[in-house]
Amino acid sequence: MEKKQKETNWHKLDNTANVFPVVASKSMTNVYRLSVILNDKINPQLLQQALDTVLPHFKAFCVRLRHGLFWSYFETNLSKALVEKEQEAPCRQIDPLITNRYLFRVLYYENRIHVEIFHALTDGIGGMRFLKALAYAYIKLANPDSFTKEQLSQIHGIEGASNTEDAYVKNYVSKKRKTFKEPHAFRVKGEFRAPDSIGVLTAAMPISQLKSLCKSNNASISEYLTALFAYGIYKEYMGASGAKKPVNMFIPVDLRRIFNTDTCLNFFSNIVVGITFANKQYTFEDVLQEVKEKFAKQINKDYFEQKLSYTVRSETSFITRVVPLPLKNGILRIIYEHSNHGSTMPFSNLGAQDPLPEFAPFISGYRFLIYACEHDAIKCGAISCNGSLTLNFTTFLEGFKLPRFVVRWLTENNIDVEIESNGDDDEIL
Amino acid sequence: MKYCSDCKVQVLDNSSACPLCGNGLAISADDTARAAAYPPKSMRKKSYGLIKRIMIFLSITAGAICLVINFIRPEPMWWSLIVLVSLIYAWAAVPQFLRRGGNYAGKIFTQVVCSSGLVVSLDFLLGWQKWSVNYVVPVLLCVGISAVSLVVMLNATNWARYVMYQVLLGFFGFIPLVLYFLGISQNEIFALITTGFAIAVLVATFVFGDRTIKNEFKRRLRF
Repeated sequence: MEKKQKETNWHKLDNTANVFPVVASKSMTNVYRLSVILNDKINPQLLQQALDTVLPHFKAFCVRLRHGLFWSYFETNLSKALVEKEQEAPCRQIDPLITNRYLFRVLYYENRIHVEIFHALTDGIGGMRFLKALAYAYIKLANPDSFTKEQLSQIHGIEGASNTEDAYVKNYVSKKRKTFKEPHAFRVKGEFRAPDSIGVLTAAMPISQLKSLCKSNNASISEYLTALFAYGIYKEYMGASGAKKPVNMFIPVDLRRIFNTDTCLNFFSNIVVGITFANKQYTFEDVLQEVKEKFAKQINKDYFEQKLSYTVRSETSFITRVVPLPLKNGILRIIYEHSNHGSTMPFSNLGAQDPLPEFAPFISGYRFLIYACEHDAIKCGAISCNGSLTLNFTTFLEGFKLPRFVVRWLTENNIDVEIESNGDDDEIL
Repeated sequence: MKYCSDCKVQVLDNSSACPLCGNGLAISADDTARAAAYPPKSMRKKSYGLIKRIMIFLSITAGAICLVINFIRPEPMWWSLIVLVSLIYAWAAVPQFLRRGGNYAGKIFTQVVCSSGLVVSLDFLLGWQKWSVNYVVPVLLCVGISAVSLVVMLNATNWARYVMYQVLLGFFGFIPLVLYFLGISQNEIFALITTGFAIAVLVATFVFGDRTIKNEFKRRLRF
C-alpha cells in the first residue's frame, strides 16, 4: 500500500519575523538563549522524552522554514527534534540542515536546560512559555514521586501554545504616516573577541533590594537600569567631554499586555531612549531624569499603534506583496543595513517569570542571553524568578567594562550581587 | 564562597580570578565545588574549513594567473574567460549539489540552470555557433525534467516537496521553442521534443496532483 505523507499545516511569518531570516548570519545570529537551572544534573533521555511530549503542542516551534514565490512561511516539521549536550559558545547560528530543519535547539549541561531560539519563531515571552513547559515536563519525569497521578498525566504550561495568529496585523489601526528613523548612535568600541567566543557575565541580586533602591529614586526597575547602563557607557567608553552621537538604549517592549492579545509568535515593539552626553558633565541623576521622561513619552498604546501601523502597512501594501521573494529580501537587506545604526545597546527585560508553585522548589533560576555581534557589542537580558533578578550581559568585546561598572555601582548602593561568567576570559587574565 | 574584595561580589563560578577585575578571590572555608555553569572552551569544535579555503585559494590564483597571461600575450580568443566561466560554474553548482540534506529536485533544478548558463557562455566565447541553444540546452532540460519526474515517482509520498521545481522546469521546457520562434536557435526537432516533455510534466502534475499538491501551490504562491 502506498505510504501517505502526513498532513502538514502552515502559518505565515509574523510581521517582524520576516526580517530575521534575511539578515541572520554567522556573526549576527539573531538567536537568543533561555536557560533554566534545576537542582540536579540533567538526564538526557528524560529531557528528550519531555521535549517529545511538549513540542507538538507548540505550533510556533514545531516548524521548518520554507520559501514561496512571494513570502517565506512556516510548515509543520515532521522530523524529530533532538536534545544535545552543550559544548559550543551560547547563541550560535542555527543551521537548519543540522537541526532537522528546526529553528531552535535544546541543550543541556550539568544542571541546566537551555533553549536557543531563532528570533523568527517568537520573542522572549513566547520562548519562555516553551522553556517553562519543557522544564515542567522534565521535572515531572525526573521526580515522579513528588507529584500526584493527576499532575503526572497533565501537560503543564501549554495554555495558548497553539495560538499562531499575527498579532501585529490583528491590532493594526491605520494611522497617519510617521517614520521612526533614529539618528546615528554612539557605538561602544574595543577589541573584538574571536568569532567563536562570546563573553557572558551574569549578575544576580535580590529583587527586593533593587526595588527599594529604585523606589528611593522614584523610578521603575527598567528605568533605573536603563539609566545606569547609559551612564556606565558614558563613564567607561567615552572621553571626558562625552560624544556628539547619543547613547541610544534599545528597549524591546512586550505588546501582549498593552494590546491585550495573546499569541505565541513575536509580538513586541521597542522604544529607543536616546541621551546625548556632550558639553557638560552629567550626573547619574540627570540621566535618570531624562530616561524617566523618555519612558513616559514613549510607553503608551498610541505610540505603539503608530509603530504597528508603520510596519504592518509596509507589509500589506500592494507593491510589497507583488515583488518576488528574492527581490523583496534584497531590498529588505539594503533597508536594514541603512537603518541599523540607531542603537548603542539593547536591554531586554523579560520581567518576573515565576514558575507554577508546584514546580518552584525544583527551579533555582533562569538565564536570558542575547547574541552579541560587532554592531551591538554589548547586550543585556534581564529576567527574574523567585525573588532574584539576573542581569545577563553578553559581549563581543574583550573584558567586562560595563558589567564591572554596573556591578560596582550596585554593590556601592548596598545591593548583594553574585556574579557568574562563562570563563571565556580566563586565558587572557 | 568566593569573594572579590575590590568589586564586593560573590563569585559563583569556578574562576580562579574575579571575572570583572581579574584580581584574586578570597575563598572562604565552606566553599564547595559547584556545578559548572558553562562547558570549558576547549570542548568547542574548531571549524577552520581547510578544504574550502584551499579550493578558494586555487580558484582565485588559477583565474588570476590565466587572466594575466592572456593579457600579456593576447590571442584572438580570450581563452582565460573560458577558465573564469568554468570556475564560476563550479562554485555556483558544485557546493549546492554536494551539500548534505537539501531537496533533490532543487539540486537537479540548479544543475540544469547552471549547466545551461555554462554552455551558452562557452558557446558565446567560442564564436557563437549556436550548438548550445540548438542541442545542449534542450537536452539538459529534457534530462532535468525526466530526472525530477523519476525522483517524484521513486518518492511519491514527498511529491509536494518537489513539485515546485518540477513545474518550474516544465515552464523552462518552453524556452527552446521560444528561442526557435525568435530565430535564436534553428533546431526545430529538439525544441519540439523539449516542449513535449514540458507539456507532459505540466499535464501530469495537474491531473495526478491531489489536495496536498494543491495546498503546496497555495502556500508557495501566497501573496
